[in-house]
Amino acid sequence: MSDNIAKRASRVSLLVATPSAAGMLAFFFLPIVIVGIYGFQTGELFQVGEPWTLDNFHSALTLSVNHTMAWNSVVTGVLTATIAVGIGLPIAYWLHFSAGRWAIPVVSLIIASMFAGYLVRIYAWRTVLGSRGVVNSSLESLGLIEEPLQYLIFSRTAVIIAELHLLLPFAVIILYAAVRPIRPDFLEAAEDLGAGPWTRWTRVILPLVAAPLASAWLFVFIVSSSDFVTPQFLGGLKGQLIGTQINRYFREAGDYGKGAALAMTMIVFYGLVFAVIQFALRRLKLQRVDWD
Amino acid sequence: MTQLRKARFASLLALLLALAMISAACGNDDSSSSDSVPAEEPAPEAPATEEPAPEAPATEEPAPEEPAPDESGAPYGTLDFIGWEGYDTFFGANAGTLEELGIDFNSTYIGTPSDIASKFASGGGGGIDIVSWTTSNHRQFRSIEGILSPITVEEVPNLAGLSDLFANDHWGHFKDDDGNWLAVPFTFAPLGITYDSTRVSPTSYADLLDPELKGLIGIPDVPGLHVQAAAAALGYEARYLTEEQLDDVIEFMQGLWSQARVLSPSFGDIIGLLASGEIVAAYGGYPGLGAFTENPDILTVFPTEGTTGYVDVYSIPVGADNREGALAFINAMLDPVVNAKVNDVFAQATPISAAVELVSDANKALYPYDDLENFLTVNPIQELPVGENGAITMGDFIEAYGSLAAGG
Repeated sequence: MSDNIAKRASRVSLLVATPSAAGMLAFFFLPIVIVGIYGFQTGELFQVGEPWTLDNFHSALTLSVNHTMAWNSVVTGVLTATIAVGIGLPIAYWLHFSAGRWAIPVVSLIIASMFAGYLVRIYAWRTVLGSRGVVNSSLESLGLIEEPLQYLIFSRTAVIIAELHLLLPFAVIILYAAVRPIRPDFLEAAEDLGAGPWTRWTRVILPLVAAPLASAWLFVFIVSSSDFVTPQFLGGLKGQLIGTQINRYFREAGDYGKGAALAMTMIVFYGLVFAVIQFALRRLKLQRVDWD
Repeated sequence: MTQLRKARFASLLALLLALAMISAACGNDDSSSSDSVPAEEPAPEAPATEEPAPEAPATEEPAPEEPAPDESGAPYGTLDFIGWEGYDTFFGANAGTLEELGIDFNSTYIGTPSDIASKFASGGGGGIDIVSWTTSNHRQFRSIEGILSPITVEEVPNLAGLSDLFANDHWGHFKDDDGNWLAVPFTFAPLGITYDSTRVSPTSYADLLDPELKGLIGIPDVPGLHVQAAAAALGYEARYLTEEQLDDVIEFMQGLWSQARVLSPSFGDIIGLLASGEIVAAYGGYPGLGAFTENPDILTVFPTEGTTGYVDVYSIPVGADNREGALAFINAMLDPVVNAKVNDVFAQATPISAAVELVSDANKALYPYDDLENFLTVNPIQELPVGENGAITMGDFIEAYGSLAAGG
């Protein structure tokens, strides 16, 4: 009897998962394969074709401009992701353990912050951080500065601030889902055993949320370091990221071969970062928690 | 919290998240289309036209019937347009003509002509009736099937009014081998320096190197524009740029880049930055930018070093749904009276002989119509490099430009 139920459940699961799996295959994996193939072809004026070549990948890996922009991307991504989980985890902790009846309204507000459009939020930051923006005007009126702080806008700082605004809600949602299974009696038990606040955080909470914490970090890292719109609007000359150069290859030069090779190189890089994090979690025996 | 409440809470979260993502995806498009072309700044309100706005019909009255087509074929209905912002409705300057022809637009605006090329190259140009682009990209456009279809003088009679340089296709940008028109010119001008005249008054690129202007210059992130402008200023032909000349071009640009505050994603953004005072001048502006602001202090000057000229054109894609409407629109835009008006709006030069007398005095002061050949020798119409005869490709330039743009 139980075998039949298990078989039926398996069939239902397969049926339910098939459409989304087909969607992923058609709209995610297949385009990546096509882009990968483009990377090995010769691109010219918005077309690719023979001869097959490795030159595009050689350029992607050796050109100094790609190194510079990739480094900019990594620095921006690491800083944004680290700050996002650094802020997001305490918020998630507070929501679960202390917010009480405020939890749902606050989570709703966090989600509502995503209702504004992407470009609207970028332009909002221009208004806030600009030379005549809210921050500079306030500081000037308080007599704290004589000249506007130029580094607030058109800089890496501005890009990171805007990326945090865009991505922090996602990090909070992931981390809130991660801390929700942690029962207060876990912490009470730890306290009874003599663990102080620091030990409870490092020995109880962090191990329990390590895997989703890594997921949140990776999500914010990948999205922020590969963005090319925000850096264009807020990054100035020094805040340009690798996505900008990939966009130029595709959109301006029409060199799909080189653009695809650079894009694939970054995909492989992100895959390596994912693998390193997975490896670290596994070595530390933190990769998943079986709450059952 | 009970399991039921947990489930409800999870459902609420999922619903809010889905709404947020849908809202974020749909709610930020400032352009008039849902196309993937990056949005420009919102277009300013159209300047008032001489013709009064039609009054709204009283709600009690029955809806007016669709006017019957007259002998000319009007009303032509909706044209699906992709091209430079403003080249459809000209901020109201051609309102009477559009009303007469019964034409309105479903428009998608571009940041660079390559947006059109990439759209058609990926098979996404279906249903588009008319494109407006800049002929510096004409090799790109000709290499992609479907963007350009031949247009005859019989279809657009006002082509006969083009001045000699344009009628004879001086640059080889407009016609096919059979003498049919692939691209119909309706305006031209040199690039320039667009600036806030209350704060600076540059006359040359060298003026932008003034140490006092450090951090006050904006540059549109349109690489194709820069290779042409810098090449022209140095006396090179961008189309045949060599490796050595590319070094000179990059060195020239390096000086300007060291003064720049921002690499702006679009021309519309440049206007916003000028208006907000973040920058005082833009390397790579153009006269038409004035049409996007009501600020009369935003001006454009053609640098004394010379710069690249550009010719903006209309084309009709192969398989356009409303080819007749597109032809009627193009013909109307070449009418001398209309062409003079639309070029006055954009402060650009008219290629129509009979329109020269009709443009404003300000327009005549900008463009020496009686000596256009010399004017366009100083500010030559350029093309993008495409790697012919050992010259660099646009990809080569993108790599050098990327280093510059990344602060390398």
